[in-house]
Amino acid sequence: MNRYRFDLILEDCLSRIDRGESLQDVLESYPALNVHLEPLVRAALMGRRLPKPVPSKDGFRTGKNMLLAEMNNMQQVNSFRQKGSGPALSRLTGRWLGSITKLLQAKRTTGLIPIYRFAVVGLVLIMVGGFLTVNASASSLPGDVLYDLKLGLEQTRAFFTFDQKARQDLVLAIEEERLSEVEILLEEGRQEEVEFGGVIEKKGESVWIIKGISVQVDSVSGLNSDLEIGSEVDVAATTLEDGNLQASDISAEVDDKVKDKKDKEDKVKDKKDKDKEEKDKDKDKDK
Amino acid sequence: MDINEKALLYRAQAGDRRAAGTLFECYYQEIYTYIFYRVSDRFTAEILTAVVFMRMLRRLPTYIVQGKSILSWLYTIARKLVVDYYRTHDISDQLTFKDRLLGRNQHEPEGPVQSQDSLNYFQRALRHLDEQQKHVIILRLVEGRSIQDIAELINKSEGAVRALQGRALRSLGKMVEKEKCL
Repeated sequence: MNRYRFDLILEDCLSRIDRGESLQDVLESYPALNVHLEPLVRAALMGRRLPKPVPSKDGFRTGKNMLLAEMNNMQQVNSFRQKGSGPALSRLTGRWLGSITKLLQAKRTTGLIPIYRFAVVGLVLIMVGGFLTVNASASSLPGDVLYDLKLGLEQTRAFFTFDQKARQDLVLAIEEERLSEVEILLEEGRQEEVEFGGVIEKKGESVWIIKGISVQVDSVSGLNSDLEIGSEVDVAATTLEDGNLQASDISAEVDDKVKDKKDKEDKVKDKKDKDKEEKDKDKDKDK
Repeated sequence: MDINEKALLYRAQAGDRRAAGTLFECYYQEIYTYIFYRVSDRFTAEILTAVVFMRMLRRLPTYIVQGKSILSWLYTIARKLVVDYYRTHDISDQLTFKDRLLGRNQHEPEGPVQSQDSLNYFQRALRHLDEQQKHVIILRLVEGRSIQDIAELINKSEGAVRALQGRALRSLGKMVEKEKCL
């Protein structure tokens, strides 16, 4: 008998016991499987006798007080959504829209002819829209519509940061942001493809820990056998709905400078090879 | 997620203290039970349960309400928190292969059932299971949930949950038989 069928029968036994049937009655329905079923059903019955642990009143009260205190802190910094609307930014949008409507309605006071008035309003709307979109993209996650915009803004920021130390700090902040995105996706149980970098901290048979994050690895993941604990790696993975992270590729991180140097060396080598080939051809012609 | 749960979540997202308090009261016992059977210590379980709700609160403003239940989300947070707890304390809630061979047991649980040897043994035996098997056994046997319920809570198919339950009970059955404590 295959496992699937056996698991169905086991579940049938447990459900019938739940409904009040005795162990003997249940086992008699499957005499041929008695030897295999009995220890499993008995183990399950023992598990059923495990009591629900009762938390102390103090523990419950302290937990609730901690939650409410945290709520106060969050309220002070306006972390919560405004009632009946989206994020807190919508309040700001409301004020802007109010001003724009006034501008459109003000026929005499502004002194602008209608077409210019609409142009001004259009420009303001584009600027405000752009500002709001950029702000909204900052909290976006992989798979969100604005996520590409977030990555683009990060790259632009890194490109225009010329101070070496500031650039290093920015790169570190971006790496931390990638990790926190992964953690949020795992906690929310969303299935998305993610990429991040870090050091291998532990290597198990099926789970590796990379920069504090548990990553499931299996034969599908493109694993490089040279990777040791302490190696800097780039990870491509998928966050799964059950809160696990399944790796699809883990490869050694290549430093940009090293990569550039290698590219240059390859180009020089290619050029030399071509020159050599041409010289050989010329020699053949001469002969 | 039913309509009341959704309404409660939206109110909590808008900063309603009473809604957040109700969420805490509704799901405290379930999360505490799960964590208790993972860490086997009442005080640690209480602290970690409080942290689960704090993490929920911090994620609330950006949480996108989908079809999944809040409890499913809380279990995901709790599971990750327990893994972090074991990692930061550099201990394992699972026995290593060597430990099993030598019959060692690192942390004896000080659960509420110490007087009953067989149940105490069962709690120790739980440590031989992997994380997902443990979760299914806690939900199925301690919480008394149906396979369908569990499948929804841990985002797996019913077949996968039955298979996890089967594997877990086979391991537990072997250990229970070996000890002849039944």
